[in-house]
Amino acid sequence: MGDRPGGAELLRQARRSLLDDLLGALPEDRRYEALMVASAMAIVARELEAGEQRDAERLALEALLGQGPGADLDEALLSLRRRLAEEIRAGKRDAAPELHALLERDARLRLAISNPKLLPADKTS
Amino acid sequence: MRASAAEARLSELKQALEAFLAGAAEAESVAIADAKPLTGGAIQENWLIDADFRGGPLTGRQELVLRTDAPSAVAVSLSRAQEFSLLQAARAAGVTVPEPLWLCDDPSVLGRPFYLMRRVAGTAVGSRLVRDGGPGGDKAALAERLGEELARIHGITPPRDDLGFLELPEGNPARHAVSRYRRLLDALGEPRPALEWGLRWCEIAAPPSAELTLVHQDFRTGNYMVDARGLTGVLDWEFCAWGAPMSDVGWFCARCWRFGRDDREAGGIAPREPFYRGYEKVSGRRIDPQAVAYWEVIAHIRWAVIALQQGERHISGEQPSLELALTGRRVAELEHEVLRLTGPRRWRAA
Repeated sequence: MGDRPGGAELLRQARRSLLDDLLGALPEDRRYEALMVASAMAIVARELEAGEQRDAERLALEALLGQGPGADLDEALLSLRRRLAEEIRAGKRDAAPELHALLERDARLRLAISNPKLLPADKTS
Repeated sequence: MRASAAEARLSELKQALEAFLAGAAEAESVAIADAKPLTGGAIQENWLIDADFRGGPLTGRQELVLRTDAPSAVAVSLSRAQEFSLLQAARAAGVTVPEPLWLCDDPSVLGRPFYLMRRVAGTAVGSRLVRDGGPGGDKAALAERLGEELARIHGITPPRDDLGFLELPEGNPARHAVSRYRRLLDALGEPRPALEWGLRWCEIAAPPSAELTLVHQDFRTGNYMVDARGLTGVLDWEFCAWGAPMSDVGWFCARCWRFGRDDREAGGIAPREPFYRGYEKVSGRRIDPQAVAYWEVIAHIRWAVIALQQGERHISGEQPSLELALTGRRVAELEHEVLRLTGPRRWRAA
């Protein structure tokens, strides 16, 4: 357990300071840059809060491919993704509904971090 | 900071440029009154130049744009000389473009090739254009006009001696695109199952080959200028090739280029109807909705590959940049859209 406030909360407050206090003091031609900084801070805050996401993806991929966990988590995830990508390209997974649902879930998790405004309101499947 | 360094460099080169302009415009002398770098454009460097011409047909103040390669140019797009030829060809075909004036291929003048064009008025910023009451005048009329412009671009067809440098697709243009993006993904080296899913769908659903025309390949909101009344110029010609005309229609209408206005399917500015109407009227060609839908899938895959490439330019340390880094993270929304467009039920029809 780290001390509080945690990283995500610190970042969110830093972002509020940037947008609410500092942005107005910046010249017009630097606003875009400041908004990019704010946008990066928001992504990182959401990413910190969604730390378990990659574990969930790994478990789902393992279940789909019937493969046990590798020694290194990142390595295992990468090799599973690589195999899946090859199988899709080779036409071994055409139109597979469970794979499509898995890929959509994964994309939605990443979208929830990078740009949640674009998440569809109606979350079927 | 980069801009001010470049500014210092250009002021050193001011005299060389003035001499070039005087020679090109048959003027007694030219004095550059103002030179400002234009932001935007990850590959090219654009400068706003105000120059006073003394003598010759252009006597007086001229407002110009100078376009050259940025120092970190990547070799994926066309050269400035090729772009200059395209602007000339487009202008001759009746496309509204900034008038191309002079090309300088001699690197001893500014250190790199460059050309000058006449400045067109207005703005191209996509997020402003799609705003209610934003610039560009009546948006249905603008969409129709853009359809007409695109049709004129597609009126340019191979073979053309002056455009012999343009890439010709090998075989079916859709399959050619699929292999191209697979190759680019392989070069990036990171597996992307969602894009592979989309590419496999595109491989199976590829529409049959039709005629080849000039394709702009970046004809979208954000790449044309408007003033308060309407269109003033179609920009960014560096990705042109010979290809399937419906690919440009798909790129223009793709959701990723609507700047958040998903309800206005023609570039975030209008419904498809006026855009299609303008296109069909001038081209005499029917819009094939199924082919357009196909090319909209390709559009998101292409943008995703470009986003990954731009992110990689940051990650590799080649060009550290917050903008490139953030663009890399846009891949999630593009993959999400590719998957939405290629659900299992869409494969049956394919």
